[in-house]
Amino acid sequence: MNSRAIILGLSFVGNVVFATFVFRQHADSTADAGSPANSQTVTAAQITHSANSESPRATESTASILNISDDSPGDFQWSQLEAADYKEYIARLRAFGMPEKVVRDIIIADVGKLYRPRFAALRPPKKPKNPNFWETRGFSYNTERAMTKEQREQTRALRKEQTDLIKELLGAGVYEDMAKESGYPDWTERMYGPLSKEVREKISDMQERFQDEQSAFYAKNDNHIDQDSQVELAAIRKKFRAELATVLTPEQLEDYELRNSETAQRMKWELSSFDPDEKEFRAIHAYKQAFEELDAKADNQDNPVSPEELKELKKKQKELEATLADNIGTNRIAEYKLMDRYEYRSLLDAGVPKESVFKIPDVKKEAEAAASKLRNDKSLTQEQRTAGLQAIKDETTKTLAHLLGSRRANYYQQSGGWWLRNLAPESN
Amino acid sequence: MKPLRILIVLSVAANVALAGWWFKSRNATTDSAAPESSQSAEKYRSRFGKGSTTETAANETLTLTEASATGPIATWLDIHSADLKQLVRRLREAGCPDETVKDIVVAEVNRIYQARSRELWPERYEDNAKFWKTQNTRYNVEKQKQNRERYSKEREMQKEKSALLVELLGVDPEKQQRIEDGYAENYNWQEREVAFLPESKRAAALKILDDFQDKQQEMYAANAGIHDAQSRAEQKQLEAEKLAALAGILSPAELREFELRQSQTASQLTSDLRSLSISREEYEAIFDIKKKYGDSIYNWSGLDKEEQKLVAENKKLMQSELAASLGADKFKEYERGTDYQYQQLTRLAKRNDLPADTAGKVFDYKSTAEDAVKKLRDNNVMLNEQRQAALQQIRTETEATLKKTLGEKAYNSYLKNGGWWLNNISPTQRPSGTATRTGNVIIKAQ
Repeated sequence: MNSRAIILGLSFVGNVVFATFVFRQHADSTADAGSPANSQTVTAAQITHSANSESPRATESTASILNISDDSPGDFQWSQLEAADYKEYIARLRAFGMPEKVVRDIIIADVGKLYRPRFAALRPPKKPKNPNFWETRGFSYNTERAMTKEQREQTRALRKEQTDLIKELLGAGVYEDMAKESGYPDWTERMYGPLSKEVREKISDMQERFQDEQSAFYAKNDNHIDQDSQVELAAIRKKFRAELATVLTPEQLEDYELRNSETAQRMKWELSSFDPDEKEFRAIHAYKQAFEELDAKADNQDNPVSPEELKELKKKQKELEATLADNIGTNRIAEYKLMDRYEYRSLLDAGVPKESVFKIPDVKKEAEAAASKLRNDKSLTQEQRTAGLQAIKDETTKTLAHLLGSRRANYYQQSGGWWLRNLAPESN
Repeated sequence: MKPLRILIVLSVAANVALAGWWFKSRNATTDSAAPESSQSAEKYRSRFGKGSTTETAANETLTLTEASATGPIATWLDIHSADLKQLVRRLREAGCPDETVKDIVVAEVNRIYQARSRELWPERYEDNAKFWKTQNTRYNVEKQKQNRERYSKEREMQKEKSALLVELLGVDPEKQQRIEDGYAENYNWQEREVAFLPESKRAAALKILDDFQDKQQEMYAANAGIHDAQSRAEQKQLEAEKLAALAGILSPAELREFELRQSQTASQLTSDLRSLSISREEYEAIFDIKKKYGDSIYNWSGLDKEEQKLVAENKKLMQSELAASLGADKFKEYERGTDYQYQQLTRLAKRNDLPADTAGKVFDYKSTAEDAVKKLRDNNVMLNEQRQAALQQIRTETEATLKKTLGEKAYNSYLKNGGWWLNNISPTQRPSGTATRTGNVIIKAQ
């Protein structure tokens, strides 16, 4: 073979190689033009397949959806996952083998950015910070950026729109799934208990409006509740309760109140040392709510009750107490009555043993009976009576110091134990 | 020309042509790949409403070359890595828009720190569905100390997380968002307290404040709700120690500024000066007088008669010093601002959308009426009937003025909240057959 033949042979090989390159280049560019992002249609079956796939590894069909060819996988570009339409975008992310939690991360953050300017437009602009600290004392941040009623309503509607969009895109149970994955306890369980998802949604909307109204009320009253505003607040709560009653059965409403009412919230703090079980909590809640209702009637200065009506209210309150005693038992009612009073509750909270605290009512009863006897003893002179009363007071103070410790006993006189001071007239 | 030579020429020409074509089409493909990134940015823009991906776009072609060296990408698993730096690099190499990189990485980082938070504070993750379970309200020194340590660790973790995000992404997107939304860059209140200091002194000052917080919480826990002379003395002692420690690192001017802004006296001034418009000089004057008297002007529960007398004297002295310093008009304003009844009136006016000066007007009517009543009561020449008639007339006139100023609704509200002083002018006649209550004891009306 001469050199010309060799050159020709090499040149032919070059022809074949270049022709192959050109062909492949052409084939690739044709496929690109045919579309990763724009013209690819993702079928529902493909989305389901990807979303339900145990393994995040892409399948052959996934690769074809995303147009990743077997010979040139290194050419992958994120843009192949992109789509202007959220549903298509999600389908591609899932088809790419992306775990659902990451799909959620991306979509929720993305939707959040979509809505942020709209939320921002509803928020009153932040006032420029006043550098003069002596002029800004006593003004809270919230007051400075308080929204109008319309702004709050629009914000709530916008938040619902955003949430609905996320549910539509990622599934109706997306938030429940996220809550489960987060490991945080499901706070909605404590709030709603056995209520169905549909009912919870209805209530949630009512709750938001109620909380909104309540927040506006507190803002207008500078968080200060007086007798007059108390009535207004009670009316707001009553309206909310009436609204709840339109979607809940009486039993469901009672259950909801057990979990969410103001009374229930207070009980969670006040009954700490009492540590009620479910039955006791239910019984005390029912008692307190009914009692407070009667109290409100008796205290209504705009519509004062007659003495007969007052007598009737008092009778009903006694009946409520009897029912409570029946429900929680004699021993526990005695404990409850003590722990329901701040003067004893505060001692228990401070770590004074129950046995010591429970002795105080007897000490009190005994001391007051002895003081009363002295006061009614007409055979005594004023000096003798005063000296006697002072002796009772001193002896009782010693007993209390023994039970509580002297510093705690002294403080007890100023924080609920007023009766001790009243045993004897104060010396001048 | 011989056929072999012709074939060689044709083949070489074909090679040149094919090579040229290949190069041309290769460049064209590369050119079209670049806009592809921009196109994807456009798609994001349409969703975000703003451009967000361009800052890394310039590097994408370059890093993609490196990506092909690390291996082909066929699925998310080829991108994902537990090593966050690696994850960021791979996402960027794959041309992932910067905003999406941030979204993915912030979520990953949050998951990591949530897991750490769970280890730190497992109780937060305990089931709480039992609605009858109560809150633990007992003072527990050990528990409180543990929780303070947890809060402190949480703050550290928060800083660490922010630093990690900056390291990974060049920015902490959560912090950036807070700032964009107009919230405080720093939501640690203690850090805000020292923000006025030079940067170089903040950490040391913060450490002192942190230590003080610990000691204060320990003191509260040890006293378990007791507010007496001992606890007040302990509080004072701690405050003095805090200032002494701060004096070790701050200049006298900085310490003075700290006291004016953050000391106990400054906190007490918060409510006193709520409705008062003052200059810095006036603020400093009030501050110094208040600091001088400290808590010697408060009638604490448990004081004996002598101590109460001393409190009253101190209060009087302080008031006269304030009056001399502020001038009569400003002092009057100051006094009003600290008066609970005036504060009640301000709230009433606000609640009823009344003009801003309403509270001041009503307060003046009250002073005028009370002065007139005092004069009448001091007048020994008058017959009792005459006095009663005059008092009744003052009451009637005052009520009419108040109704006019407040309006019917706010006036009725005022009668129940702060307007009790009207009864002191002359007694109110109750309609017969009504009852009232005091506390929980039902009593019959007079």
